[in-house]
Amino acid sequence: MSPKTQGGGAVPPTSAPLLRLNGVRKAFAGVPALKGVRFELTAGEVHALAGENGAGKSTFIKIISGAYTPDAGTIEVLGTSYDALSPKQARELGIAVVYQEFNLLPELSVAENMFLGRLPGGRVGGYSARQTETAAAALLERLGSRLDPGRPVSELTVAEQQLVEIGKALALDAKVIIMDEPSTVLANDELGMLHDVVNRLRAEGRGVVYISHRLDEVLGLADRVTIFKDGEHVLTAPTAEMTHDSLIRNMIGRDLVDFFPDRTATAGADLLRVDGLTVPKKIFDVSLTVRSGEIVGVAGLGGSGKTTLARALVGLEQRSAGSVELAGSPAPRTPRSCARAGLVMVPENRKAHGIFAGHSIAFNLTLAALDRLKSLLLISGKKERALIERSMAELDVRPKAPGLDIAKLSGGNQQKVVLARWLSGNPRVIVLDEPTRGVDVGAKSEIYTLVENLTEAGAGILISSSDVTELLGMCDRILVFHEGRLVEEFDRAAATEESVIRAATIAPRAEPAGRTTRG
Amino acid sequence: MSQTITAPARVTAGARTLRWTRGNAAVVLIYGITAALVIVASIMSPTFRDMANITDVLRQSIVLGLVTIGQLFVILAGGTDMSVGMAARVVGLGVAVTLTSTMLPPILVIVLGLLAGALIGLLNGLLVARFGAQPFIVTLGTMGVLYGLALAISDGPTGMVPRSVVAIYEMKIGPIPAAVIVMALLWLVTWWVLRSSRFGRATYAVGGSPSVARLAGLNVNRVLILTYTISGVCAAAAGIFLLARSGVGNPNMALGLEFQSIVAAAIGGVSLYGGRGSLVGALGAVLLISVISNLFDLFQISAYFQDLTLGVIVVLAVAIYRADKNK
Amino acid sequence: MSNKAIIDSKSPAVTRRATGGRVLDWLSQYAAFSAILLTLAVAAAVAPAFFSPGNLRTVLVQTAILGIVVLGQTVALIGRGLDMSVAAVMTFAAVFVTQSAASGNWGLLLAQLVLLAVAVGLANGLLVTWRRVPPFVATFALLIVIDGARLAYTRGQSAGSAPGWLKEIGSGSILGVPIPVLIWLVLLGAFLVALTKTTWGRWLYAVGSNRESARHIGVPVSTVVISTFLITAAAAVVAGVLLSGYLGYVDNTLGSNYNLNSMAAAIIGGVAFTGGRGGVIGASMGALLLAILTNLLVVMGLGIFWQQIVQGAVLVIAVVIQGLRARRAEGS
Repeated sequence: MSPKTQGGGAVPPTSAPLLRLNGVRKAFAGVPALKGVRFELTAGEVHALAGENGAGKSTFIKIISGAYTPDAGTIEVLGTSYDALSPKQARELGIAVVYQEFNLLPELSVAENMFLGRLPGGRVGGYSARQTETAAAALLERLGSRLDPGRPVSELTVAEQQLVEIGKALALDAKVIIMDEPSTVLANDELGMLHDVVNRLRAEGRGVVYISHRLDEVLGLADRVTIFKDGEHVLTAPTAEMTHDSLIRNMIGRDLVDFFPDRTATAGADLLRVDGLTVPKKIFDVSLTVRSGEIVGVAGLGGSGKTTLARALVGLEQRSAGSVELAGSPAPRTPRSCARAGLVMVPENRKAHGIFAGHSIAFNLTLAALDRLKSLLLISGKKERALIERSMAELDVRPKAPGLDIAKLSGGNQQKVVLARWLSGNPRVIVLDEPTRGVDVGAKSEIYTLVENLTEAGAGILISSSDVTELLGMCDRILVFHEGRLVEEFDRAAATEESVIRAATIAPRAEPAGRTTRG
Repeated sequence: MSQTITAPARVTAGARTLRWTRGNAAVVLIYGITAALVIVASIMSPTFRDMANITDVLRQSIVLGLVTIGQLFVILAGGTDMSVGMAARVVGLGVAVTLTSTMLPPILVIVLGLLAGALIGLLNGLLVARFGAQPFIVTLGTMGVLYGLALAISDGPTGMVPRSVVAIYEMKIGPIPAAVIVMALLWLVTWWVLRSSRFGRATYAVGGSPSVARLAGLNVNRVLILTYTISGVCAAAAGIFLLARSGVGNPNMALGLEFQSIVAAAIGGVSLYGGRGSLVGALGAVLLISVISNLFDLFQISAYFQDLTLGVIVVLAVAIYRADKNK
Repeated sequence: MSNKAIIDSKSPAVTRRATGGRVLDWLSQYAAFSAILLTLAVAAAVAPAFFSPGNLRTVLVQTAILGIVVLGQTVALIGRGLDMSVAAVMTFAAVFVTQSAASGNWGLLLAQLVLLAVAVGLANGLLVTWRRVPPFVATFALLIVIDGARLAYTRGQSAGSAPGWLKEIGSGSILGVPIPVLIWLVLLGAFLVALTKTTWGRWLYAVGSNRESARHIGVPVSTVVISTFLITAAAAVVAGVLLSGYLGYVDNTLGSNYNLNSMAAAIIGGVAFTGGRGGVIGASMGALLLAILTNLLVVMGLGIFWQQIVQGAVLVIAVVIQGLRARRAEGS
C-alpha cells in the first residue's frame, strides 16, 4: 500500500474557485482582528496577500487552516460552504500551510517527515522505509529537487528544509498551499529556487496563497495581490496593474517618499574604528569607521558576515585578529563592559536573543541598566520606576503597562523595548542587526525616526540589514559584505538597490574596499 | 530553470553505516571500551573468563537491561521515569508476599505483578500526558509514593518464594541461561519496534517535537501513555527477576535502578531531551556497566568503595561525553 | 480546543471553563497557603495534640531546617536547574560534625564544611555549565559520589552523636523563638533581598528565563549557574549541621528525604521547574506545608510509610497543578 498521493499530481480543472472567503470576522477579547474580509483563490494561481503586521494576515491564515474559528463569514472550498473548519477538516479538504517556523523533526528522515502519521505499513504496525522514501523522492522530483529522502532533516540547509515542508503539502495532495513569508528565512540566492517551486505548484494547477513583505516578490511572482489593512480588505488586483508605490500606499496610506526621515545630522569625530577584524571562518580583515552623527549600513547576503560583524563588535564572537577602537581606546571584550563604555548591539533574533518572554516589560527594560539603578548596593525601586517611565514614553511603547508580559506585545513594540533597554545608557555607538525585521510598517517608521534623532544627538550608528531599501533610505554610507569580506562601499548618493545587490552577490575582481584611511 | 540539489536519490547501505558511525562515535567508543575491558580482564583473571562468570555477567545485565528498555522508550519520547526503581521494588515485594502468604499459582501472581507494573506506568503516563505534569519531577513524586507503598508491604525480608520462581533465574538452555536468551530477544524486538514500526517512529516524533507530531495527526497522548506503561511493565519484570535471583523479597531491592537506567541511556547516546538516540548505544552502556560491576566484585573492591568508584566513573562518563550529544 | 470557548464570554459552557480556570489560578498561586489552612483544619478536627506547644515547636524547627534547604533549591530551580545532591551533602556535613565532637577540633570542622560546600557546588556547577550535563544527571551522579565518599570515609560507620554546643543551638531558643527558626528567617530575608534587589538576582531570573538572551546582555551565565550550585550546597551544609544538632545524633539516613521534599516545597510554592519564575516566600510556605503534613501524620500515629506516600503525593499534586496551569497558559 503506497502512501496516499494523487497520481500524476495535476489538479483537475474546475469552474469553482479553490477557495472563497466572504465577510470573515474575528475578534479576540473584544478587539477585532478581521472586520469582514474577502478573498478568492483560483486553481493555477499565485495570489499574494500583503499588508502590515497587525493587518490580520496571520489571523486570516489560521482561519483558513482551521486553527481559528471565525466569528462570522463563510469559507467556501471547491464550491462547498462552511462556517468554520477544524484543522483536520482543512487538511482533508486539501489545505496546507507552510509556516515560517518549520514543523519538522530533525532526527527523522525527509521521507518520514513528509509522511508522518501516514507511514505506509507492513504488517503488525511496522512500516516500509523503502516505500516511503520512494514516494518521497517522486514528490521531491516534482518540485525539481533530487534531495535524498533518507537523509535526516537535521543535515539539511534551511532552504532544503523549506522544500521538505512544501513536500509535506504535496504529500497531502494539498490543492491550496498557503505560504507564510517563505522568503524571509532564505538568503537572496536561495529565492530563485523557492520561486521555481512555486511556479511548479502553479503549473500543477494548485493555488498558492503567498504572504510576503518583499514587494518585488509580490509583483514578480504573484498573479494577483490582495491587501489587508487594519483587518479590512483594501483591494484585490492583478499584479500587472500595481507598482511598488501603489502597493505601499494601499498598505499604509503613506507614500514611500515620506517613509524615511531626512538626514540632518552632520558627521563629526570618529567614534568607532575597526581595523583588520577577523573571526575565523566567518569574517576576514574587516575595516571600517563610524563617525559621530553618521549612519553606516552593512549589506550582504545571508551568512555573508554582517551579523557576525555586529556580534564581534561587542565580544559575542571570538576574534583572531584585528582591533576595535571606541573613541580612541581599545573596545572592551564583553557585551556588558562594552555597554558601559558606550557601545551596544541590538541582536537580530528578538525572540531567541532579545526578550525574556514571561517576564514583564519592566524586567526586560531594566536588565541592562542595573548598574545605574543602585543605591547602597541594592537596586532602588524609585530609580527603576523612573527609568521605566522615561523609556516607555520616549519610545512610545504600547500598551503602557510596565507589568505586562512582554510576550503579549506586538513585534514592533517588543523591538522598541529591546531598543529602549540598550538606549537607556545613552550609548555613543549603536549597532543594529536587522532592526525592523518582523516589525510592522508603523513601528518601522517610528524606529527610523528614533535612529535619526540619536544621530542628531551625536551618536554613531551601524545598521546591518538584509532590507536594502531600508539601508538606502537611512544610511550615509553602505558597506557590502561578500562571503566574509567587505567588498564595496557606496556613498548615499551613488548607491542603488541594483548596485548594492550586485556587489553582495557577485565575487569582486578588484581589491576589497572598506579600508578607511586613518586621521 | 530549476536548481537541483546534488545528492543522488539512492545512498548505499555502506555509506549510510559510515555516516552513522561517524555521527555516533561515542557509541562505538563504548563498545570498544567494553571489549577492551573484557579482553584485559580475561587475560588477567582466569575467574573472569570462566563460563560461569560470563553467564553471570550476562544475567546480571538483565535487570538493568529490562529497566533500560522501558526507560529508553520514555526518554526517546521526551520524558523521564524516575519511578522505575521503586516500581520494581513494589512489584517484587508484592509478588513475594503474595506468593508466601497465599496459595495462588506463581504464574498468575507474576502476571498480576506485570499488570501492576503496567498500571503504575499508566498512572505516570496519565499524569504526564493528560495533566501536563513535568515528567522528571512527577515521577519523582510517584517514586516517593511507591517507596512508601513498598515500606507498607514489607519492611523486612519476606519468606522464600517457590522454586518455580527461582527457576526463572536459574533455568538454562544448554550452557546459556534461558533468561539471557529471552532478554536478547527482547532487545531485538525493541530494536525493530523503534526503527521500523509506526509506534517507534511516532515515539521519536513525539520526543523531537510534540507539537509537530500533533500537527501531523499523531496521537501524542497515546504515545506518551504507552511509553510509560512499557516502562512500568519492564520495571515490574525487573523486580520479579530480582526476586527470582535472590529467592526472597528484599526490602532494599532495586536501589538506584532508576538512576542507573537513565545513566545507561545517557552514556549510550540517547539525548535526555528526547527524540534522538539509538538502542544500540543504550545496550552498549548496559553491557559496560554490567562488566564494570562484575569486575568490582571479582577484584573484591569493598562495597563502600564500589559506590564511590561507580559514581566517579559515571561522573567522568557524563563529563567526558560530548556536550552536543545532550543538547 | 476552540479559541471560541475562551473568548466568547456569554455562553454558560464558557463561564464554567473560565471559572474552572480561575479556581486553578487561585489554587496554584495560593496552593501552599490554602493547603496549610486545610491541613490545620483537619488537624484541629482529628488530632488536637498537634497544637500542643511542644509539638508546634517541633514543627517550626523542622520547617526551618527544610526551609533552609528549600532556599537553596529555589535558587537552583529559578536558574533552570535543580540539585539532587543536597541529601548527601547534609548527611556528610552532619558526619563531619559528629566526628569533630569527639576530637574538639572546631577549626578543622569549619574547614571541612567549607570544603564540602565549595567542592560539591563547584563540581555540580562545572558539570552543568562546562560539560553541559543536564542538572538532574549531574547532581544525581554527585549524590552517588558523595554518599559513596562518605561511606568510604567512615568505613560505613556514620553514626555518632552531636557535640554539646550544637545540641544547644539545635534545641535552644532566644526570646522564645527556636534558634534554628531564627537562622532560617534571617537567611530567608537575605535570600529575598538578594533575589529581588540585587543585580545577581535579576541575572538569575534572566538566565532561568532565556539563557541566550541573558548571554547577549552580557550576563555571565556560567558564573551565575555555578553560583546557584554553590548556594544549594552551602544551604545543605547549614541545614545538615542544624539537623544533627537538633536530633542530637547522625546516621546514614539523615538527609534522605530532603531531596524530594525540598523540590516538592519549592514547586508547590510556585517556583517553576522550567526556571525564571517563583520566589522564596512561596517556597517557604511549601516547606511549612510539608513539615506540618509530616508532623500531623506522626501525631496521628500513622506509620512511616504514610509519610513517604503523602510526601510523594504532595509533589505529584504540585507538579500536576503547575502542569495544568502551563497548559492553560499555552492554550489561550
